[in-house]
Amino acid sequence: MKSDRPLNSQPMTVNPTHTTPDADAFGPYHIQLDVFEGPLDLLLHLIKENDVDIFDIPIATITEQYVKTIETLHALNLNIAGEFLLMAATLAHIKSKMLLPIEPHEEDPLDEGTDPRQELVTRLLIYQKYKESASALDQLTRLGRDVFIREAKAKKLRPDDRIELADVNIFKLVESFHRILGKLFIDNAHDVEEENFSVAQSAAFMQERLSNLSSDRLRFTALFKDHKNLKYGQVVACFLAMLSMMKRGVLKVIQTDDFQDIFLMPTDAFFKGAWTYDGNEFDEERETQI
Amino acid sequence: MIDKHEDNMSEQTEEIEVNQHPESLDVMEHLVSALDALFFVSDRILTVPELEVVLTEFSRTQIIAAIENLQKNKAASGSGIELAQVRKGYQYRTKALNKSWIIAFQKAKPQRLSRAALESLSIIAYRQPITRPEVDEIRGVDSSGVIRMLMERGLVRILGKRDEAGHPLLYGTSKEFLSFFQLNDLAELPPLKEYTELGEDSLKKLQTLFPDSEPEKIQDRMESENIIPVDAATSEQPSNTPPPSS
Repeated sequence: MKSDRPLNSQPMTVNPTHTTPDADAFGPYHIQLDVFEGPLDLLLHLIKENDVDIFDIPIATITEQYVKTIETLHALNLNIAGEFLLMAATLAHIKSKMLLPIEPHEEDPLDEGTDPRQELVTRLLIYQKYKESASALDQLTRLGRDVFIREAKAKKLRPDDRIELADVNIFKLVESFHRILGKLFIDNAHDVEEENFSVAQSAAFMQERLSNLSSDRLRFTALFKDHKNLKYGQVVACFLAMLSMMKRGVLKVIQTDDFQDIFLMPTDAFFKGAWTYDGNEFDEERETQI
Repeated sequence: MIDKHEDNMSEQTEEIEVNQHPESLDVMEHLVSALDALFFVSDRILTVPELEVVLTEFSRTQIIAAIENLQKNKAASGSGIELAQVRKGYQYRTKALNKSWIIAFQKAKPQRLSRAALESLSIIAYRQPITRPEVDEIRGVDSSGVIRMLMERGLVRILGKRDEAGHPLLYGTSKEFLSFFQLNDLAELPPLKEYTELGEDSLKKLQTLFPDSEPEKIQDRMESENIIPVDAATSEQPSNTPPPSS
């Protein structure tokens, strides 16, 4: 029962690849294994590769190949490796249990007790079932891949429409803002210059840019595209102006997905010109403080 | 003489071709035309009850018959779009055979789901209501990042909390999930593959350890679970929900 079968000695090839930047589930520094989704997936692969019976897994051989594989993977990704290591320990534990002689059962000497591999086999079978259901799901007709609906035009907001704040949360805004700040050259020599960027000026600048759009939206970063000597103050002022314009309902701010650019969309109210930038709350606040 | 709608239809279709005025069309013809227009302008799935509100002069039976006629017309005319039945409603969607042209036209990458996402999504779909640790257990890897992404894409939602110590969050699929995979309900999910390679004893053992999750049983399981509702704000804005603690 516990004898390892002869195995083909084909060398294992591990194919770790860096995921593309759009890898949806993880951050940019995550390295995912192209081939294996996890330790169970790797085990299933080894079982298939060696053409062994899932109910009679040659634990010694599989463990050896498994460990060899994760050694290759170890340096690549600590998070994944942790889960892979846990499985390696489980395999070693099963292997050691199987080496122990079975104490004959008092009542039934023929009962060999539970196979130490049983729990693992169950997990493997369950995982395999859902691995297959995942590819069945992938085969289904999918909206946006196989079939499409008519492109809905982004609704233009009326002045009395509530601005949906859920479209982009403050962290996303700040993140986008920091990205722009990060692009600025930081001069450590610290020349002290007078910087004069009022929020009102920036609003006027943004109003001009937004009035001459060829499409219905503008990237926040595109506001500063032509600026060679961009200063913090200017970006800050524009950011404040953007918040202020949102508040007035003349601007809608959207972000399609994580790590994507923030787009500014002028609303109907913007084009009607029924708004002016008559001293904004930020400037006012400063004045009152003085 | 002719009492079936279909027969009536085919006769009337010929009359349309000789440019009859809409006013003179018979009831069914008129209704099919109205539905065609409604489905064309709608940017969402329309259900029969919703259509009834608009098409006040017509009965539910007439509307349903007209939808069937419209579907047949679209299929027979070689149109590039079809009236798909989704989420127990209807929506004009392009036929799958045209997908490459649309992708080229939109210059957009087609909707993509990673293997990790598909695995987690299928586990959630077949096993809902399910907690995150249970998904992790089946996959053997941490799934919190993937689940968060699935929630952000609107495919997965929080159903509530399980009535047990720690009140873990329960996940399930959203309405959007059905629309995304063009399904009417969860019972339409492809059946799970049986463990054919198992002997009867092993199969029994496995089924007691892990009761079946066939599509038609999903609804029963949802109803048997005592789900504690989380407050509405949390479930509507998944991005604000803190990831469930392990």
